[in-house]
Amino acid sequence: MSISIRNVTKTFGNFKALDNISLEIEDGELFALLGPSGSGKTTLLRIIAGLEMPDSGSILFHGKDSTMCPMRERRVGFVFQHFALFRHMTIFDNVAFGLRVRPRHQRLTRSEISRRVMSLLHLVQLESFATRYPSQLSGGQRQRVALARALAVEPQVMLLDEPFGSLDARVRAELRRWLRRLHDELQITSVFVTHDQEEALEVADRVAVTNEGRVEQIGTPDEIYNNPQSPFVYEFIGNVNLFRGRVHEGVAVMGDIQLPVPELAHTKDSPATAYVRPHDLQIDREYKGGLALPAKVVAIRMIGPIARIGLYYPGNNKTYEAQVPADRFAQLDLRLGDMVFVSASRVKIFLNDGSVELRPSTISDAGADEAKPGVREPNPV
Amino acid sequence: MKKVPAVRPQGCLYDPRISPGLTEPYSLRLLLITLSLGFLGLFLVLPLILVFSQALQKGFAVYLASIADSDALSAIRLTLVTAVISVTLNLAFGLAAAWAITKFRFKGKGIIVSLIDLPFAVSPVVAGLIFVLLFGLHGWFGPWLSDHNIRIIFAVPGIVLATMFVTLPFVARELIPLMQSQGTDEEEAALTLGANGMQTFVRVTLPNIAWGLLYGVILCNSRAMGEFGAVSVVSGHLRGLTNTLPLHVEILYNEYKFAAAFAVASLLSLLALVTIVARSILEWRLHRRMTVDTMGGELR
Repeated sequence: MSISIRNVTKTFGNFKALDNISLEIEDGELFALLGPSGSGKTTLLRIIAGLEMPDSGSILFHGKDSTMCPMRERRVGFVFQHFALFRHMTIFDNVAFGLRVRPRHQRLTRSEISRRVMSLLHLVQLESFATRYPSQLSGGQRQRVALARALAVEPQVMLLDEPFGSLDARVRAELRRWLRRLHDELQITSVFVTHDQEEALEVADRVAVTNEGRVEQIGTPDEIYNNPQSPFVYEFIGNVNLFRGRVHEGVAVMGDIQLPVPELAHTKDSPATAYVRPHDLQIDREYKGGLALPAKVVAIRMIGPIARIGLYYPGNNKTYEAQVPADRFAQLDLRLGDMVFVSASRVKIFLNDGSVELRPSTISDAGADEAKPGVREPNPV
Repeated sequence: MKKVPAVRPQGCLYDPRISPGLTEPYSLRLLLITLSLGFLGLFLVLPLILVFSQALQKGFAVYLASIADSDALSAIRLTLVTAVISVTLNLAFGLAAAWAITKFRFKGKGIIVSLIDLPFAVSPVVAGLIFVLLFGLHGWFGPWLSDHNIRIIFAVPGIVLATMFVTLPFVARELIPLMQSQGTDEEEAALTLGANGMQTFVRVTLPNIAWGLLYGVILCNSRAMGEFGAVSVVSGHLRGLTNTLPLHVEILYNEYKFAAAFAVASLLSLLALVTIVARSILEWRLHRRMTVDTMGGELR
């Protein structure tokens, strides 16, 4: 079942939670709403479920306007952030709830309900826990009960609010993969809300990045990561080094760094910010020509196959982060205090007044120019 | 910091699990415990013993006779009727108020919360007088009521009204913090699973608040049966008609029928004892529930 969100606006008092949002979620898709807290993503999910009413705009299920449709008729499965299991009921009764509250003429017989519940518990691998109470289960197990309970009513749409938010890191990674497999198996259109970019990029088919009640960008995880459409998305997704300056007639000036930007030849003295991903920075011991900044190694941290290196650039008195593969790191044989040359393979520049233009540029093409790429503090996210 | 003495004080108050640096000296602990136990004995246990010993002073036959007296029986009946009506109505009110306050967003919520506490702040005598001023012969609605031959003051309706006013906060005050801590997540979950409002209330909300509700009802009931001040003002003290148990005790006492007075008083004391026992059982259950929930990480 496809979901269309058309021009939805919602305010709470003076706070604009959703500002004219439009989204298309396709049939059978696993869709992520990604954004910082307060960006309106949970409100949007609750509006899709019918737990909140939009101030204006409409929600269409499979092309049919369901904005005014009561929750019971939407056939939506909702998994709450804290699971909201019925604490006074056993796991079995929790899962059976949706089947037992049906009007009499639609209700299954007792044995059919029992069979359905047990098969769902089998699906979430919790058959042996049927007679336990929620408080006797671990976080990950409760999460799976909440999923089974929502699936029991055969929803056409699954909505999950921060489904892994309150779990510890290992359980989270495990459940993430499990959810993806489950979705591929059941093919139910699913929307989940998360503030964790890794989660969204790993699990979802498509991602909408939200900020301050608006959608910043919609796309596949690959598009979102490799081709951010706005400074916000650039900073929110992944680590990024940034440096601020101005663009004037095709040249970006950031402190003592100058960068040719031929695409912006007609821009007159506009404030701009340049972004470089840590893994797009190259480190060399010797100057190899092109644009390269001299920098000092001030921090080294090995995280599995990747070395994160803090680089101090005296030109603007800031420290930036580079990520190099472990083998390259070993080859360079870096020590704290070493002087190195840093070059960037990809830089993106956004003009500050709105999301006007973006220009990927290859610095090494810039010839014997004095210009050098620069960067900012490590771990900005 | 004082050094730990080589030989620690021995005795019943010495707990080897508590480091001596963390607790008060033995003498101070003994003093505090003696003081509080002495106080309790003097002001609570002794009077209770006295009530029962006075009641049985002239033998069991007199005790039974004073309770089986027709005026006493009608006082018991009236007390029970009053308690049943006011507890039922306050149960309904308390549920509605707690539900509205904890599950909805609306203006004037704060005012309702503080108004619910009003009966605790107002002296019961004043509460009684309010109803006399409203429904008495010379009160606001007095003429209209007497025209239609409806009696409220110096009759059973007045007693019920006064009792209800005094006991109004008990159920609501018990439920509001409980329901607040539980939030609306489970109700919302029930709604998304297709339950209607009534099913949500009966299957999800009610079981979660059942023990708190019962606790509120017991407190409300014991106060309803024991209320003296407000009821005294509106009752008119008509024997066999508008006398509740506490009023009846007072009348007997003023007539120097001490044995009878204490016999009836012993009934009220018994009620108090039952309430205390029920209360501690419920408190234990409630506490256990909350601990289990917290340990289970259900709290936000």
